[in-house]
Amino acid sequence: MGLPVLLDAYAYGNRWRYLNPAEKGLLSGLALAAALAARSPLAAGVVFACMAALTVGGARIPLLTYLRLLLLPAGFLLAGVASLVVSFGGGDIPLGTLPGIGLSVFLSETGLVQASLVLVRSLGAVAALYFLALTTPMTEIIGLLRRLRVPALMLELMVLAYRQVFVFLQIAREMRVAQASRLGYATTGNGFRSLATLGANLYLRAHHRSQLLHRSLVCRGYEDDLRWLERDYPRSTRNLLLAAVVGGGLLALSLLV
Amino acid sequence: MPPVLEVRNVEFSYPDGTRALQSLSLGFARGRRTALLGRNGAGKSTLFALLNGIEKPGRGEVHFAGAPVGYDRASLRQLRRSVGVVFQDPDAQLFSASIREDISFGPVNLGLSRAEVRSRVEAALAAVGLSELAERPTHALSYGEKKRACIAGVLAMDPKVLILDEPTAGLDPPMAAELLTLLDALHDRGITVILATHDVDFAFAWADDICVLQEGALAFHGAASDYQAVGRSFPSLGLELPWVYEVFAELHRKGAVTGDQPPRSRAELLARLR
Ligand SMILES: Nc1ncnc2c1ncn2[C@@H]1O[C@H](COP(=O)(O)OP(=O)(O)OP(=O)(O)O)[C@@H](O)[C@H]1O
Ligand SMILES: [Mg+2]
Repeated sequence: MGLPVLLDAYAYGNRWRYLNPAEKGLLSGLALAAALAARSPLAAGVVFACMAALTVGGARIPLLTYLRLLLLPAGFLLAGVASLVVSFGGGDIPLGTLPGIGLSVFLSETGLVQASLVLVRSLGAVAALYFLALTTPMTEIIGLLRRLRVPALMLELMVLAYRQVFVFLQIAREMRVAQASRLGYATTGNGFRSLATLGANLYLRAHHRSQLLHRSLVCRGYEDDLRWLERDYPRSTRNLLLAAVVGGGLLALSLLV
Repeated sequence: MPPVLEVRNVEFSYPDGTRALQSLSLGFARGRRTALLGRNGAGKSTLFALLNGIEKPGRGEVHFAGAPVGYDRASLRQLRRSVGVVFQDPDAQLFSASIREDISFGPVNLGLSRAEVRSRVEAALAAVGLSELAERPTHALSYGEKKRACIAGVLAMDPKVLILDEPTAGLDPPMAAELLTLLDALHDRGITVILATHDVDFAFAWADDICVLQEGALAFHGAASDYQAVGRSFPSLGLELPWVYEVFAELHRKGAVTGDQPPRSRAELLARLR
C-alpha cells in the first residue's frame, strides 16, 4: 500500500478518530511550533518522543507501522544532513582518503552538532504532523482549516485534490494491471513504453473526469462555490485544556532549554 | 395528463459534429416510471443532459411543467431544483471524501437551513441504506455503495423528477433488487422517475412506460404491459424481449399458464403456472 492509502486508513480507524479535530489540531500545531523553535536536541527530542508516544500509545497506531512511516522522511533527512557533517579537503576529524581521486574526507565537529539538532528538530516536526495526519481524516482537517479562516478557494482545491488522489490511484492501478496482463512490463523496454502511455492517458482521463465532475456538480446547483455542511463535534473543555497544556509545555520547554 | 418534462423536436450535435439526437419529441408523464432503452451511443445520456439543462438543444425546445426551459441562471436553477440527475460513473460525481459532506452539497446549494440540510442528508442516507457506512471515506466504498451515495446526493434535493443513467450497471442482483424497492418507494411518493438501462428484464419488471431510442430518434414509446406492441417492435429494433414475456408466450401457447396478460416478474410467472 502506498503512503497516502496507509495514512488515510489510520486516520479513519484510530482510537482518537472522534475527538474534536480542534483539540488534535491545537496539540499538533503547538508541538510543531515547539519542534521548529527548539534550540537544543534535548528539547526537540522531547517533542518527538512525546508526539510519537501519543500517536502510538494514545491513538493506538501500531508501532511497526509508525516506524515504517517515519522511515521515508528519515531517509530524506539523513541524506540532507550528511552535507552538513561531511566535508572534503579540510575539517576537524579526518576520516580517510577516497581511493582513486585522492580526496581526503573530514567530519566537521560544529557540523555534527548542527546536524543532530536539525535531525531531531525535523523528526519532532514530522511527529507533530503525523500525529494530526494519523488521527484525523483529511476532510476534518479541512473543516478545521475553514474554521481558522483559510480562504475558501484553497479549501475547495484541497477537497477536490484529496478525493482525486484516490480516484487516480485506482485508475492508474487498473491501467497498470491491464498493461501488465498484456505483457506491457515484460521487458525493460516494454516497461518504459507502457509507463509513458500510462502517464499520457492518465492525463487525458483526468481532464475528461474533471469535465464530468463539473457537470454533475452543476446538476446539484453548483454555481461558483463549493459548499457543504460541516459536521459537529463533541466539545470537551478538558481535552482542549489538555492539548493546550501539553502543547504549551512543549513549546515552553523548547524556548527555555 | 400533460407531461411534466418534455422535449419537442429536439436536435442536438456535439461540438465535434456527432449528431446525437434528431427531431426527438418525447414527454414524460407526471408520476410515471419510464425506462429508456437503446443501444450504446443511442443518445440516452445526451437526452438526460438536455433534460437537466446541461446541454442546450440546437433546435427544438425542452419543456418543464408546461413552460419552455430558459437558459439564464435563474431559470436553470429553477429547473435543477426540480429535476435531479444521477450519472453513470459514481467516481465522476462524488467530489468529497466524506459522503455526508457530498450529500449535503445539493441541499446547501438550495439555501436550506443547517437543521434542514442535516435532516435531509440523514433521510437520504437512510433511503439508500448507507447510514451505517456514512463515516467511511468515499474511496473505501464499493462501486455499488458509491452508486447509492450518488443517488442519495440527488434525493437529498427532493426533486420532482429523478433521472438515473444506468443505475443497475455494476450492481449485484440483490443490490439491483434493493434499488428497485427504493425506486418504487420514490414512485409512491409521487416522484416521476426516468431511467436508462441496458437490462431489458429490469426495465419491464419495473417501468410503467418503455421508450426506445435508436440513433438519436424515438423508435418505440408505449406501456410496458402492452406486450403485443412490444412483441411486434422489439425484434426489428434489435432488442431482446424480456425473458418472462418469451417464456410466458410459449407457455400460453401450450396452455400451461393462467390469464392472458404476461407477468412482470419471475415470481408472478411461477405463481401462474398451471
Ligand atoms: N462529449 C461528446 N463529444 C462528442 N460526441 C459525443 C460526446 N458524448 C457522446 N457523444 C456521441 O453522441 C452519441 C450519443 O451518445 P450518448 O452518450 O448519449 O449515448 P448513450 O445512449 O448514453 O450510450 P451508452 O449506452 O453507451 O451510455 C454517440 O454517438 C456518442 O459517441
Ligand atoms: Mg450513456
